[in-house]
Amino acid sequence: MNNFTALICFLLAFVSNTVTAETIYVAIASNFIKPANKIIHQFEQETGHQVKASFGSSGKLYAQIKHGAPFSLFLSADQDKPKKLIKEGYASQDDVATYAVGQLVLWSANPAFKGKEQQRLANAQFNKIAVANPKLAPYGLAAQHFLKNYQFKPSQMVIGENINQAFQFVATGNADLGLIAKSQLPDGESGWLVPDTLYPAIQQDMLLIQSSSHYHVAKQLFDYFKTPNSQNIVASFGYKLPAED
Amino acid sequence: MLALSAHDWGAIGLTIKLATTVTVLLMLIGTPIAWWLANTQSRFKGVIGAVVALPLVLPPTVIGFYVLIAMGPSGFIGQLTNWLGIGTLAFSFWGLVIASMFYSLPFVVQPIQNAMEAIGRRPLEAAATLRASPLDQFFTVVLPLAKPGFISAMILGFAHTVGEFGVVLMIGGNIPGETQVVSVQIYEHVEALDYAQAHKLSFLMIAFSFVVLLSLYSFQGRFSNLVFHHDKQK
Repeated sequence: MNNFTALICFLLAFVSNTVTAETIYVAIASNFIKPANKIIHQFEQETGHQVKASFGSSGKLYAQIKHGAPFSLFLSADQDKPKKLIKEGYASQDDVATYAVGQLVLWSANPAFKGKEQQRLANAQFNKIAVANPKLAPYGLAAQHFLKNYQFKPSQMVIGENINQAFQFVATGNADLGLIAKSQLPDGESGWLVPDTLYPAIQQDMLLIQSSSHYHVAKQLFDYFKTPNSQNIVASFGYKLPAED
Repeated sequence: MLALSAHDWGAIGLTIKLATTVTVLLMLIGTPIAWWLANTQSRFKGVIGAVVALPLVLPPTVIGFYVLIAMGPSGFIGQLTNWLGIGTLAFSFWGLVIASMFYSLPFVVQPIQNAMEAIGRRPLEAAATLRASPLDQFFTVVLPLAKPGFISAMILGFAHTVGEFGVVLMIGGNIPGETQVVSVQIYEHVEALDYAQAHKLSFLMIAFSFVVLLSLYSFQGRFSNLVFHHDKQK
């Protein structure tokens, strides 16, 4: 009987919650998974709304939005795709903001490379270097730009579909080196932080989608990402903040 | 209409090379497996049959994920290849060959096995009374009678390898001339919003697949459904 009462209470709480709470769908670039999950979790706790996040490369998410995916907020890994969406009438000029600035890290999971990542790259002493696809991912574009300073065989470069796949290639030891987002570094791991003068800045913009039926909730989340608390979380995951630039 | 870029042509050539290599190797490995499965009374028959059929139901992500780990420096394939002095196999043509062989195995083994089972014991017993050794029986009785099964296996193995995508995406690394096959190239075109290029290659794939299946089905029709409906033979 006790269990039954508990179940009823739970169901009632659930029902009353759904009366006021809404569920929104958000598209988020792969590199931002960790901070996004943390911030979204806090947002859900504080507002009672539900946020369903889809992660992928910015290019894929952009195409999905254009083809009618039900996203009301888009956290891109660059500024190009939000700009394009504004130009194409999917969003308003005023609904865009930079939420993070990405940092590129040269990383290896091979103990013999620890602390010598850059030296190994400079001497071409590695089997493969993994990067995200420059055509699809802003981190890939930045990596490609940076790698122009180095010489190695074209076949030494392996391309992940997005930055998470580049990470995967390194983490499984199949590629000696990889250029990944600093935010992806596993706890306690470090790599060589690429000086940000060596690649174009990875300004990551978010955008509210105009046609969304949950525009006002998405706007709350949009503003929530800009609060000092959220910005602290963003910084703690290895991003620079837009204000610093 | 079909003005393809050098990269696209490279991807097509590589795909054909991969599918041919995988098919030849699978025919060599798949035939004894099929023979054993068709004839054994062993209680392991179910287990081995299930392992062979696994790739039919597993998502390519599972296969890709484990192959990637297995080929890494601490995986068992990686340790073996390192010991042999050929380094690790991920992001290489031969890495794709090994992954594809696992992935396409049931498409080769099952048609051959079905064809062999359809022959039944009688022709072999008849051959045995004429003093044909087991090896003789295989080459003079089984091979000719199971020929439709072998041809189906070849076509299916080849076509299925051409159509492979998920595993290659996960272990290939998208290197032109080495691991950038047609399906991955199409994916990249689509992702980069280059729909014109994507259409050209996709159209080719549809045309190819249709021709393959058409030839397979018209071929099977001529051999009285021997391959997939062997039960009717009994």
